[in-house]
Amino acid sequence: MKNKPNSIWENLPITRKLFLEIAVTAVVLFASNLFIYAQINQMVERMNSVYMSNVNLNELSDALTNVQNFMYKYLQVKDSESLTDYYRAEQDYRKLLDGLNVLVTDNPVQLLEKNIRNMSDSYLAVTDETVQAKRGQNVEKYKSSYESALKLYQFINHDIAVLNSRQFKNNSASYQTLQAALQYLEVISSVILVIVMIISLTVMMMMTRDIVTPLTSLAHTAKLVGQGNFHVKVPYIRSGDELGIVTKTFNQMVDSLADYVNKIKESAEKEQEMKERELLMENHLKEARLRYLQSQINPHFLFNSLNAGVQLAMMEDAEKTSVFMEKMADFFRYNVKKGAEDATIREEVGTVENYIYILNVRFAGDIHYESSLEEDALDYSMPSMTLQPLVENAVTHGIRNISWPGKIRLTVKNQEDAIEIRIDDNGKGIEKEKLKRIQEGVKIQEDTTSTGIGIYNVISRLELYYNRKELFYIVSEGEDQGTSVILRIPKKGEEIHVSDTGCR
Amino acid sequence: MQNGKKGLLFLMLAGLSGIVFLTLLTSSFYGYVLKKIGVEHAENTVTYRYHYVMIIDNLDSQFWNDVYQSVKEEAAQYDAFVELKGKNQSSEYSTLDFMDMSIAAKVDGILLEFTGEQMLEERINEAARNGIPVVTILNDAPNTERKSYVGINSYQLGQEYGNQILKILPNHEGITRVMMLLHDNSIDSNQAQIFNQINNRMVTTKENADRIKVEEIRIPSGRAFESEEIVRNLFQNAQGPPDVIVCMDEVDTEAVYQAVIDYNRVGKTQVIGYYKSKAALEAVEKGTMAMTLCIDTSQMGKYSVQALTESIKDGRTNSFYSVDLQFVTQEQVPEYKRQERKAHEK
Repeated sequence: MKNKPNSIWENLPITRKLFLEIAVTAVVLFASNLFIYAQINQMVERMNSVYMSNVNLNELSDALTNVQNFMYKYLQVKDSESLTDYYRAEQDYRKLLDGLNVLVTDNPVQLLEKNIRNMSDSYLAVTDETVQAKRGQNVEKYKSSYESALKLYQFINHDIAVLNSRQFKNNSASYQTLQAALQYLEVISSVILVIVMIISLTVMMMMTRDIVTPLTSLAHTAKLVGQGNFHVKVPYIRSGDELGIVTKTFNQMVDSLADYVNKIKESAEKEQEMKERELLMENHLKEARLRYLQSQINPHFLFNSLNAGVQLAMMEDAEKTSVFMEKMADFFRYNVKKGAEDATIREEVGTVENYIYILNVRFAGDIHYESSLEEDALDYSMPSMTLQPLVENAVTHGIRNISWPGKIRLTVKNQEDAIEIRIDDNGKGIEKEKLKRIQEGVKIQEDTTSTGIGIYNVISRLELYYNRKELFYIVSEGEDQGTSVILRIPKKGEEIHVSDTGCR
Repeated sequence: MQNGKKGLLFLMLAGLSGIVFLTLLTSSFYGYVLKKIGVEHAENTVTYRYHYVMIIDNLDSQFWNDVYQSVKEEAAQYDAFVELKGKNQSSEYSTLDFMDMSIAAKVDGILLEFTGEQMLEERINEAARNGIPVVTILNDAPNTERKSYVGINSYQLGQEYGNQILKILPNHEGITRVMMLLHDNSIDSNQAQIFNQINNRMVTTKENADRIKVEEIRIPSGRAFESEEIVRNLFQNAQGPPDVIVCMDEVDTEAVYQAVIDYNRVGKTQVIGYYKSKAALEAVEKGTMAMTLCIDTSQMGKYSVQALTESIKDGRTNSFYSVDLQFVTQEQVPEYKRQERKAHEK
């Protein structure tokens, strides 16, 4: 079916298709009408050719009457004027007679014509004779001739009348038939018109359907595409008109849409990956920061020097110095050893006691230290270097520079679900606003007097270690009322640290 | 889509054939219309060489129409057309006028039913002088220059009438009256001849000579309803209606036949009709009418045209052509009817 005219038709633009179709319809209608009119014209012409006699019968009759009248007048008056009139009338009449039929046919009209012509010939001969006789003053002759001329005149007149009425009858019959034919023609032309109309309407409808069907499928497909299905396609239309172009373009659009969506998906995946990595990096950073914080308080050099000092003091028999140096060394060794590791509560408590001893040596026993320890709580692990900074804090900000004897009390309680470690002092206490700020975890920048590890560091290490908040409470009744720092840490890693202690 | 295209093609073809069909229908319709109004006929007229005129007394007569048909057919074979002229209700012309017209129209030949009008013989002679041959039909004009006579032998017909009348004579006492309705005025006309022969035949039979009386009524031609009036008078006559009525005319036949029924004379008054009109044949079949005379019209037409043509071509012809005749009685009616039907079917 892929012949040439077909493809030419399909490649036409829709406007031209429609135009062609309407034009063809109009031409067909016009042609059929033309045909019908041609037929009726032909019929009318044929009838005309038959019935339009060459001679106007009235004219003929008038001419005949003229001949007769002028002859009669001449016979009456015998003047030359009538005679010329007569001759002229005769000539006229003869001229008219030439238009009449001479053949013998079986058509009554033509036969009548022939009879009229022949009778007129006879009549004219008789009138001539009459006129001649009158001229020759042959009275008898012209009178009898006139009689016969009159008779013939009557005959001819009668025949003309018959011919006239016969033609009239024929013509009226023709008229009636023509009218009937016209009515019939009306019906026929309407039927033809209706047929042509039905055909053109159907063709139009089919064409419109050809146009609309792809549009509908296009709309349907577009809906599917709108719902996110990029794998549908509009059925391919071979036609090269606007529809074909639209369909093709739509399919291209769907293809590129799918491409774009794929690209977007890929980039979203990449972004996700990047986010994950970022999180990981943050974790790493935290770990690094923790290590850094621990390294801050890990002075190997000092520890080794102190060890050397202990030995020197023992050689010089300075026992107090030796003990002091040893406690110092323990204190720093603990730092060096546990800087990067977990510690048990017991070790933490030992470090605190060492630190208090050192301070008491430094400040001549100003600090009264008490501890209340529940033995079974001491082997749980916790981050190292946690309690010492808290105690240092209590010393530095609590009981230093007070006028009454400073006291520090350390309590470790084994509770059901946690271990409560409590450091109380009877120092200056903390103002409410400051307390609030500390509790909100705001780092207090102005305090640079500490040994290095501040409260903030402790809190953040604890939170990172246990991956939990609300471990740290700080309570103060107000100025000069003392401060209590309370740690509630989960129980963690007892066995490991038991074996740890066993190794020691 | 392919389907749609096929349907479209089919539709187109159907529409096209419909239009073609309508076109053919239209043209055939126009053919019919043209035929109906006579255009076709007027266009396709046949041209002939000779122009004959047939002048008869009564155009309405079926007999003469049958003759005319036969004449026309026969004339066509001789390349001639026959124009029929005669009296009907609307015409005011006499046979004489028709003769004048025909002579003035310079026709090639005249067939004339001689009616015995005055001056008619002279007109026949005038035509002959103008080189127009005249053939008399059915009624002769022996004393003219007519070329020929085609018709029945009056003598023979009269004898035959006599024989038939004898067959149907009623048997009753007293004088039997035979009435003959004549249309001819001249004394030596054919009908007078026939009358004389019937009279002869009646009188010459010994047993009937005394009791049969043959009478005649002459019906003048050219006056309307004359025969009807005369026939009615006949039945209302003091003498009473005659026993046998012989008609020489179709109109007379029907008038008499009707009167017989009206005056309740069926079976009492025997009628011999004229020509085989449908009414006449039916009356004979029923027995209301004794018989009817039939003249062979086709033979008549044939002979008359032959006579004319011969006289034109050869200058002379037989002066008398005899035409067959037959009396149709009750037994022969069915056969005639059959013939009639056949002729109609043709």
